[in-house]
Amino acid sequence: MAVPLEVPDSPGRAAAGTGARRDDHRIVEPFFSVAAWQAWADRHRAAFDALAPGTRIGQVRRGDAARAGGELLVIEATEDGPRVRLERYAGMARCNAHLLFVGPDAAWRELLAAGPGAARRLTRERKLHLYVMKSRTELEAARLDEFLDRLALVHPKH
Amino acid sequence: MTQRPGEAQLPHLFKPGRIGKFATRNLIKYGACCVSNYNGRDGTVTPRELARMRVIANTGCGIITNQGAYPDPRGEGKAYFRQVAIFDDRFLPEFELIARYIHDGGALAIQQILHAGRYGGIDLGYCVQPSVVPQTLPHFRPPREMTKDDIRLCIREHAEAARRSIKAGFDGTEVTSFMGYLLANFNSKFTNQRSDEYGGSTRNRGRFMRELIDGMKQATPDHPVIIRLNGAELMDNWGGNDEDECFELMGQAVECGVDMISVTVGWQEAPESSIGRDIPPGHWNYLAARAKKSFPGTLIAFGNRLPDPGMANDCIARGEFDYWEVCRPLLADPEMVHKVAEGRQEEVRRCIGSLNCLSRLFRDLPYTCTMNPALGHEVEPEYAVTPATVRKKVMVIGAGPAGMECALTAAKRGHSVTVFEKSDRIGGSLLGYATHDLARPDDLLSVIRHYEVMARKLGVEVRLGTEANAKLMRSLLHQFDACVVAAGAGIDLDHYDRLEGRERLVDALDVARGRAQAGKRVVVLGGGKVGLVVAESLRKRGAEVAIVEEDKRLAGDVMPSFKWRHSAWVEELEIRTFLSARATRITAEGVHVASAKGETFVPADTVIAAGPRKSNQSLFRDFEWMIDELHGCGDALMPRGLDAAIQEGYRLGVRI
Repeated sequence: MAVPLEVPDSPGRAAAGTGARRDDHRIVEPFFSVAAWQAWADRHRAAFDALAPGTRIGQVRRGDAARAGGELLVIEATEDGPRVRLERYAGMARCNAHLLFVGPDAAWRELLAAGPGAARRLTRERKLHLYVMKSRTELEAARLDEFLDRLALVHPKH
Repeated sequence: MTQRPGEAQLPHLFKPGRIGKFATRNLIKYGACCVSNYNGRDGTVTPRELARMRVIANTGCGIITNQGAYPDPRGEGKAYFRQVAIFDDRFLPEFELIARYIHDGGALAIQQILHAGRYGGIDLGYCVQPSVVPQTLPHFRPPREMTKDDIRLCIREHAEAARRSIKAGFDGTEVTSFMGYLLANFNSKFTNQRSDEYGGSTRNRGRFMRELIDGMKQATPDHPVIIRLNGAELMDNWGGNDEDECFELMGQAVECGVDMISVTVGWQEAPESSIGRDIPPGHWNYLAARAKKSFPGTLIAFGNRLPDPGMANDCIARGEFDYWEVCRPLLADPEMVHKVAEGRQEEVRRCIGSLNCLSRLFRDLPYTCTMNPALGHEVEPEYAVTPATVRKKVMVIGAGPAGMECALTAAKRGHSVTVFEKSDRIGGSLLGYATHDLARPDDLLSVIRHYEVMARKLGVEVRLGTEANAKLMRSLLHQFDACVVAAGAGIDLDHYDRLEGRERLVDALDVARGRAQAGKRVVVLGGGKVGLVVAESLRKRGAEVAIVEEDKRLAGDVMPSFKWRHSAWVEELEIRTFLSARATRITAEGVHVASAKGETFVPADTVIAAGPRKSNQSLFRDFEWMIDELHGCGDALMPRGLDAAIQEGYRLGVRI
C-alpha cells in the first residue's frame, strides 16, 4: 500500500521501498513503503509486543528533518500488533510520536533489511539519531524506558 | 610571603595574575564545574553549602567561582534539583557570606550565573530554548520556544543577577554555556533554528550572547565578566557547531569586551565522553591553545580533563592559556594547591574521573566524591578528622581501599595502626581491576600509590604477605585494642554448586590478579563489573570471549556514569553476549548455555566464574572473643565497589 505524497525528491529515493525515481517537485511515490515496513514490523512483532498500545515510533529521512517537511513513517503499537502508516512530516514541533528516529536513506535501507535490533546498533553508530518527543513519565508509560536505558540514552555520558 | 618550595618548581602556575583591576595571587581558578545540590528546593543556600564553601574558599586558588545560580524566578533556568538561585535580594545574605569566605581565603570572588536552557526547568514540565528541538535524552524536559519578549526578559534577569552578585560582594560574574546551557543553545545551530535576527548565521546566533554580555557589563561596568564557551560542542553529528564556528563565536565575545573566556568541551547529551576517565589528560588542550592564539588580548582559562598541576604549569609556560581552571581535582583533595605549593605533590589525592559527582547530580542527589568522603559533610563534626580521645592500637585486616582508608584516617587521629595483608601489595581487588582497566589504569593505580605514600608518611605499618587468621590472632592476643576486618569479597563459587563441570571453573579474581591464566577461547560467567573488566581485557589481548549473564542486561553493579562505556566496549570489541542466560554444563570443549531462546554450545578452553561475590566474613566469628573492639568495613560487609569502600573506611576511621 503506497500512499502518494507531494515531497521533494532526493538522491537515492526508492531504495527503501517500492517508490520510483521522479524529477524535482511533483507527486511521487513515498520513500517509505508502508507495505514493506508493515511486513517488516509483522515479521518482528515480538519487538513491539512490549510497548503499550498507542505508543508511536516515528521515522524521518534526514533531508526531510532538515527542511521540516516530508514523510513520517509511524509504527504504532496496538492490541493487534504493530500498525504502520505514513503521515505528513511538518517539523518536530508538530510530530506526534513518542520517539523519532532521523537518519539517512542508507540507514533506513539497512534497518529494513535487518530487524528492529539493528536500530540499537545504528543509533550507537550515530547513523540514526533518536529524539525523545515525550516526557520521561510518558515514555515510561509507553514502556520505552528499557529500550532507552539499553541504549544508554537516559542520562548524560560526559 | 616567602615562596614555598613547590611554587619554585611550578613558577608559572604560582605567579600572580590580574583580571581587570583585580590582582590574583596565582593563576589557578576554581571552576564552578557543577552545582553541589546541597541547597534548598527554593534556591536558598543551606548551612551545608556554606560549610563546603568555607573549605573551597581556603583551597589557595587565585580566583574562586561560586557555583552557578539560576537567574529567573520561574525556574526555567534551574538545571538541578537543589540549585541555588539569585533572582531576588532575599538570597543576598548567604551570597554575602560566601563572598566574604572567598575574600578571607585570599581569592578573587566570581559568581556564576547559570541558565540551563535546554537542560533547565527541572521543576517544570518544560524547558526553554531558542527553537523547539526535542531532547535526545529523556532526563531533560520537553522544549518551548522563547519569544523575543522572553529573550529580552532573560537578558534583563541575567543583568540583574550580575548586579546582585556585585552587591553581595563578589568581584565579578561569569555566564556559562557549559555544557549545552541556554547560551550554548543560542550559539549552536543544532538548537537554534530561528528565522529571526537571533537565528540563522553565526553572527545572528551570537546576538543573544552579545546582548547578554552587553547587559551584564552595563549592569556591572567596573567588574569583570567571564564567559564559558565551547571550543568543541561534540554535537557535530547532530548538526551542531563545528570548531571553527565555536571560535567565531568566541571572537564575538571578545568583540564585546569579555574579560576572560573559559574554554570548555562538550554538551550534556554529546554522544562521546569529554571529561571521563577514558579521556587522556591533556586531550583537549589544543582548544585552549587555539583560543589563546586567536585572541591574545583576552584572558583564557582552561581545565577540561587537565587534572595535573605540572601539566597546567607547562601549558601556561608555553602560552597555551592564562589560568588553569580546576574543579573536580579540588573536590577530591581541597588541599591540593597547598600540597603542591609546599612540594608535597605526592600526597595529593587525585581525582580519578569516576564522575560519581555527576552521576549523582543527574539522579537529583547531592554530589559526593569517590576520593573525598568528607565532601558534602563539612557541616557535620562527625566527619571531621579530630584527635582521638583514647589512643588505641588498631589492627586492620586487608590493605584494599576500605582497609587503607580506615587505617590512614585512624592514624591521622593519633591511633597506632598496623595493616595485615595476605598478598604482597597494597590495593586489594582494586589492583586487579586497575591492571585490566581499559579506560585509564593510571587513575586507579594512583589510589594505590597514594595509600603507599601516606602509610609511610603517617607511620602505618603494613605487614604484607601476612594472612590474618585465628592462629595469628592468638599470637597477637592483647597487643591490639581494636580490629577492623576489611578482608574484601571473593567470587561466590557456591553459586555454581549445581553446575555440571564446575570443577573446571577459574576464579575471575585469580585471573585479574595474575594467579591464573586464561586460554585463547574464554567464556566469562557473569557480566557485572568483575566479569566485564576481565572479559574486555582478555579480548583486548586477543582471546575470543563470550559473556553469559543471568540478568537481562550487563553492568548491573557498575556506576551509572560508566555503564554505557562497558556496553560500548563490549560492542567495539565484538564480545559475544548471552543475556538472561545461564551455563548448564561445562566440558573440556566448552560451555552449554541455556536461555529462553534454547541451548547453545560455546567452545571454550577457559571458563571464568565472575558471578555474584561473597563477603569474606569468617574472621568476624573467629575474632569475636579475641579482641576488645571488632569492626568491619567495605566489601567484607557487603560486596560493592571503590566508592563504598573508601566512604566506609573513612567513616570508621573517624569514629574508632
